[in-house]
Amino acid sequence: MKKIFTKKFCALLISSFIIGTSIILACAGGDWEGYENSNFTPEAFVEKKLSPFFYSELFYYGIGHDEQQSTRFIESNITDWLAYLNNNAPVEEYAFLLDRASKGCVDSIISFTEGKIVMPPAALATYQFFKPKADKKTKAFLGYLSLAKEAEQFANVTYDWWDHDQTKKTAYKNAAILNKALLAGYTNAGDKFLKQRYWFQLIRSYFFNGAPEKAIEFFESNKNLFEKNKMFFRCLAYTAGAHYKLKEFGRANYYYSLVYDGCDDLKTTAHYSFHPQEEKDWQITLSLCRNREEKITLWQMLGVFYKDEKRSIREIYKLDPSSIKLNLLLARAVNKQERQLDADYADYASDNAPDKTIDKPLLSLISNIANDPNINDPFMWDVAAGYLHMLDHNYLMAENNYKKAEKINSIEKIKQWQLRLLKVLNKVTAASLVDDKFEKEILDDIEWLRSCGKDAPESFRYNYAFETIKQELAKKYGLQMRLVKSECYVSKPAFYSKDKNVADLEAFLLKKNKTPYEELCKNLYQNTLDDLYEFQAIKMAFADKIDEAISLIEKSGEKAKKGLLGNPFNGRINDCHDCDHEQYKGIHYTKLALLQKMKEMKANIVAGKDIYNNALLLGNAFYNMSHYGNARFFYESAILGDAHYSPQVIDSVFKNFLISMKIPTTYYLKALAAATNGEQKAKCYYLLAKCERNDWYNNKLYSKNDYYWGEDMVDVKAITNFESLRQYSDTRYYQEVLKECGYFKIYLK
Amino acid sequence: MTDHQLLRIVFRIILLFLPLSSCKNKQANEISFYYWKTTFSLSVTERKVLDNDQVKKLYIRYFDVDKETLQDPAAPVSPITLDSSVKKYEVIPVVYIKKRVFENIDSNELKLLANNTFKLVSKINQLQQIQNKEIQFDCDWTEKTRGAYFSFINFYRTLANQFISATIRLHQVKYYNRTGIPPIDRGVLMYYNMGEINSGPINSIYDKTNAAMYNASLSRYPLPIDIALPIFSWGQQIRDNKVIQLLNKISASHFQHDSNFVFVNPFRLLVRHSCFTAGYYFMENDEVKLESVSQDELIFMSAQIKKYARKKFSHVIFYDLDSTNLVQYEKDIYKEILRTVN
Repeated sequence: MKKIFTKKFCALLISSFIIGTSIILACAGGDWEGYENSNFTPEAFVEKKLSPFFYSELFYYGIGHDEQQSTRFIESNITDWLAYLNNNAPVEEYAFLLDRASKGCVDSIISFTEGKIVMPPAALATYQFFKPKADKKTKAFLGYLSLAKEAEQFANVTYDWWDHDQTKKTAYKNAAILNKALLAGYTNAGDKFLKQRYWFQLIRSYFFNGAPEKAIEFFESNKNLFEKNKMFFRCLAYTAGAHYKLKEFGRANYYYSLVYDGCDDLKTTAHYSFHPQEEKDWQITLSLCRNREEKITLWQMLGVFYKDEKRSIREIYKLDPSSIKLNLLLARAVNKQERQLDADYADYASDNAPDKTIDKPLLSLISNIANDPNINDPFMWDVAAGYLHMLDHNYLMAENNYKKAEKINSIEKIKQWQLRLLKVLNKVTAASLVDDKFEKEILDDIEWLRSCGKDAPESFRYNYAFETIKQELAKKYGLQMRLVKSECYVSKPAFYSKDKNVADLEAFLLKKNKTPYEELCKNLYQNTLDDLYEFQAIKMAFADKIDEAISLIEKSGEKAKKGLLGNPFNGRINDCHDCDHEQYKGIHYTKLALLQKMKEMKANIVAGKDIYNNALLLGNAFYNMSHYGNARFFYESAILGDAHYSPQVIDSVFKNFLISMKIPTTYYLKALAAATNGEQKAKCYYLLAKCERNDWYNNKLYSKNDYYWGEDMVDVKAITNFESLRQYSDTRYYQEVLKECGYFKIYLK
Repeated sequence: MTDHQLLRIVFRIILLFLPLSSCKNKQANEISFYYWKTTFSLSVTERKVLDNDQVKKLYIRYFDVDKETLQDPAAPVSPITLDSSVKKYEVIPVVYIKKRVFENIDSNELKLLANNTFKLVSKINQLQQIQNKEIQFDCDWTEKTRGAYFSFINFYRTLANQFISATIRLHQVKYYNRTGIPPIDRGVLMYYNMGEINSGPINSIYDKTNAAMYNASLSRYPLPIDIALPIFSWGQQIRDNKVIQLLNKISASHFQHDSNFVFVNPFRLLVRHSCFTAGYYFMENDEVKLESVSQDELIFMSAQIKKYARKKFSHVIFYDLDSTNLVQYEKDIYKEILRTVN
């Protein structure tokens, strides 16, 4: 596989060694981007070109890694040459020639344009590029292109990782010839455009192949000839690299700072190249700055690259309070503080526990600067200061900052949203009582949050705040015993443990003429009235109140029609839900149909009709409806949950009745009492034994919190019905049990 | 069991007995070093130590293997550049493989990895016309990754008719029933890095109490082993009581005349002013924890190893050969340790 050997990969992983450290580098893989639990959106006010440097767990925010080493200038190269040659040839032709054509191909074209060969290379026969006879500019372009392709042998190497050996590092052998030709091209170039490109090629060639001093000298002696465009900064970056090779770190880093500031395409390159070694290097770099702005850039780089935002904010503020370069540092400082206080981010290692208190010096720094009317974005500084006060639980100070921000006019929408989000978050967090007046005050904001997903730009970080607000309001309603509204904000199983709660919720959902706030609560409630009826029906069914269950399930709309997979009246020797589902070819009972059939059977028992069979089948139905049976679908629902692969994952509020064997046992005992022969009795005793076994699981294992798989070997002596079953060893059913039930075999031994 | 597996076992049994029958003549106790830099070029200090201790073998890190993200294929990182001076020594290439390489990897990928590793080692050898009798793999494998790692070693063996050794960490010795025994001919016990890296006072490279938890298991490991001992030092940069960065090749000397730092005790410094030092940036109020192993501790370690391992070590390998490490110790320390261990 071909892959570009990216520099940052080396930088991260070089020679990690035997040391086998447990330290995790900040950028060591994974998909966690580090802003899921954030309420502060850097995109609201920081220049987009700086986005790779927003605070993130990724190496670069939004892009992960810089993968564009070989491709970042393809597009601008095409644009530049298109404008220069202005020959109406399609862009695709430029793209081919500049990016993909080999040196051999370019040389053939040159031969063709010089009349040395009659035909152009076959693939280019239709090219518009060569329709008009090659003019001077085109010839100059091709001459340059041939040399540039030659230079790619050392400057743009793509290779197989596993092929990377020292032969690849061998110096390019034709450097002297190439450099001579490039110098001639530079000297003879008829215009600045071409001259600057030869300048670049030669500096790069000196950087790779010659003494670094030559690259530096050639840059310095010609730098004033050219405008400060991308090509200039590419030259400057190689010159910085040449200084780095000479261990002149002070100047190298100074040049990297100019590249970082001057060329957006090379910001990441400057980032991973900028590397002061000793304090004196840093001081030299600072001393080389020609003006205040250059110093500010350096401080921004230090703050971002070395994560010392506070120091950089102080230094930049001293130099120029109105600097726009403060904004990135502000965004990073706030996002970092959020992360450091975030309990969700806590690791198991003691060293990685979240901070408990806010960074007071940071809070004070941001608050003070926010008071300066000369700063670049006073609105966002107030918003940030307010937010930090809120994180410090000082809600009044937060509100003051927000009020101050509100007085500033003509603010972009996303910034206004940022303020609105933090204001409502602060208001809800600070509230000690949620009453009608408060509800009216927050109504619009909560409605707005509900619609943020549709209206806000993707980058707007509102979701975590919305979740926090919901949790806060649910908690506060709970403390005020306004349980229905609490449930609407955050649903909790415990709510459903009381029938009164459920009745209150039903009444609330059915209420006509709701206030706008009540309507909002209804819309926030994660379940529906149908879900509520279904839940009530299931509870009634599990309490053997089948008539009530039927009338409730009938009110639950589509829920009543949900089909069950197996035969819910089947009683297996070995529980095997998949077998039951696969083997069953009969009518699939819906939840309603099952209840109706059970009602019929219950009526038969009351009427004294075939009591044994009706009771046995009802026992099986109750068994199968439970967690142990083949008809778990009966209880799987919005409120009770689903996919319960173990009783351990059923919420404790619901677990007991879903795993209880009480009702099936009652019916199996009824069947036993009505049994008239050994076969029937054997069957009843065995089915009762299964219930006993499940009760053993319930009492011994599933009631424990620290249950582990593998502890589930039942104490067969505790199953008393096995002893009763022994009396019926002459029955066919007994023999079947003996074949299939390992526990019984153990019991007999 | 296939014939091939049977043959391999027989071969390994023969190998096990070979040193016993000929140890007096050929397997003299030797001092070796790990070489862990990316360019092989010996300094005067390094050369002097090698000459003084008549070192014949060097364990040279050829390259690391890692993957950029979990989805990417395994790739070599920073292959070494050798110069011709390496030919004076018997070279044992060491390939350090990050354990995450062995996560979610199938048999075909393992074969490819073994093949690629073999080819790259051969290429590096070819450039200096070196031949190796042995290769060493270094991987902090776990229960989760042992299957893939051991298969990789087996695949490698089918490609290279070589003696294969591997590093064994202390937890892999103590819990070998769980972590498994790699299918190698010899192990190298890394008698260091026995503690958790954290901001507390305990030295993570070597600590007597931590070592005591492992000593009893040294004699029980069922493979022949050599021993690797630490002569490196490093620092830990601590911010708000959390280790934020390891400072490679850092010792007290880096800070001694720097007024930006103040020693709280011989092993701990406080940063008084934010600054750059040795390529690292320190923030005001950061702390630096220095870790190394003293000469006395090295000798104590050796005595402990002798007491508990109850076996002879044909090789004692020091990690790692670097002037900045070597200058911390007296000239004859390595010989003394070799004597103490055996």
